[in-house]
Amino acid sequence: METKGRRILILNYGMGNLQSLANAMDYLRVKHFISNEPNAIKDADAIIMPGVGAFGKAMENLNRLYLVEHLNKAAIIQKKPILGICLGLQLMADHSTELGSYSGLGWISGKVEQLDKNKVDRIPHVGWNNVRCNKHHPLFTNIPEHPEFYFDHAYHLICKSELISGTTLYGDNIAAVIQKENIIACQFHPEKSHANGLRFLRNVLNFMEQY
Amino acid sequence: MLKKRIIACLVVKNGIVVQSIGFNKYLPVGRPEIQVEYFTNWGVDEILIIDIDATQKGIEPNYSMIEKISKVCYVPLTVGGGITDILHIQKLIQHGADKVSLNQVVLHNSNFIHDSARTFGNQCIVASVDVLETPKKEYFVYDYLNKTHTGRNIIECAKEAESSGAGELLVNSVNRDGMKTGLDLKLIDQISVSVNIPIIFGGGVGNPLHIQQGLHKKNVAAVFIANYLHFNEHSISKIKSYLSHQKENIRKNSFISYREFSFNNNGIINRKTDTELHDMRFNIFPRERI
Repeated sequence: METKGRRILILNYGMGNLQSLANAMDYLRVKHFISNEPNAIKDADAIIMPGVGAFGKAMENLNRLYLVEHLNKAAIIQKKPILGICLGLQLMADHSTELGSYSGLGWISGKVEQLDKNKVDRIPHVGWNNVRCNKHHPLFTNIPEHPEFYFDHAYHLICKSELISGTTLYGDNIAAVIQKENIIACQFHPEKSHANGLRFLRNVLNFMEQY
Repeated sequence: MLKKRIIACLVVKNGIVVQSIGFNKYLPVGRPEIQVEYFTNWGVDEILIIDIDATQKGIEPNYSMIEKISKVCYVPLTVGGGITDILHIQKLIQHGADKVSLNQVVLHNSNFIHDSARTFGNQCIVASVDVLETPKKEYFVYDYLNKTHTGRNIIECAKEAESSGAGELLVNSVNRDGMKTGLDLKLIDQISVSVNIPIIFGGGVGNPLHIQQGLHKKNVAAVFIANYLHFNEHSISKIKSYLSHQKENIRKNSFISYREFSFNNNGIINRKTDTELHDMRFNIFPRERI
């Protein structure tokens, strides 16, 4: 498959569970490289932003490593395919209220807020939850109906419903998968969601190849 | 709907997985990466690695071991043992851990939870508490390094962990450790009303019914199992088949299924009848002697 020849960057901004993602990519036999250099963004054909961590710290790291400008260029002007995972999804928003008030990359208009304490009995939302999606959606090819994915987050993205291609129910319907042109983002961790997660990643990689 | 989780807990000593009995006797099981590979394929929801040597010897976590494990682990991986510095957490995550479990630092330094949650997010921090029941039926936090109870109230400790930013609370009953007599349901009741973060409960699982009893408690998000999983082929698959047979709210996504089997009251698989076994038997044709 052509994906194997593409240069896929796993962006290291000091926050990601890089090894987990690299392991999943190895399993799928996809070429990838890990870097925190601005030049790597220029070289890459597609970018994955993994994420474990707090929003403010992540933006601080992106700024410190001079990555923001290059990321914006790759995402908005060059339209390189980009996948954001968990925190990577949240960073694409305009604004977050996690432990303070921070502005994000602003690729997806929306804001990141804490899960509604009045509607759920436990925060964070940790564990396997069903994702409601259109099963004919290309990102969900070969995945059974209402698949279970692994979530681990206390904040979620609120954005326009036409950008949301998958939701999960935890108190409210939470955005689980977001797609806007070249940008795909998921709130769950596909690299940690066993067979379904690996299938999802394969579909994303196929999308990256075709875009 | 959010599923209840079955977590495989691997206690590691000297780089090999052991069964721990009462926090003082240890039986060797095997290499961690092999155990993890099997459990992942059998459909476990999460893996928890506890290195009981690291803290005792005052050494850093074993990063190369975690890296080896993470290569075969496509479910969430939580790592505990030997973490005394923020840098250790960062290195663990870089080597493939998804969450860290903090035990000793919970006892001695609640600022540490606060600082690490601030850097890595609450969801990354699991506060782990060992609980000892005294002969007077009181619960106290147990310090496994000094092998004594600390005299600290368990509820207070749980609340403190929550307010300093832990994302999950892992509770282990010392008295039940390795006893196979079932979870301490009274302890669950006491602790689960006191905090709002998800609770992982364990200690004493001896059959699938015990797990079901734990999952039935409203505030228990997950049950962790250690000794019961070892020396037991398809252990996770059999547990999950029983639980889904009982219509429990769990993740059913394994390649192995025991759907057509029946279970006894304790959730253990019944032996098939002689006729069924007879039908399953391979047909053997003895060589003709002329």
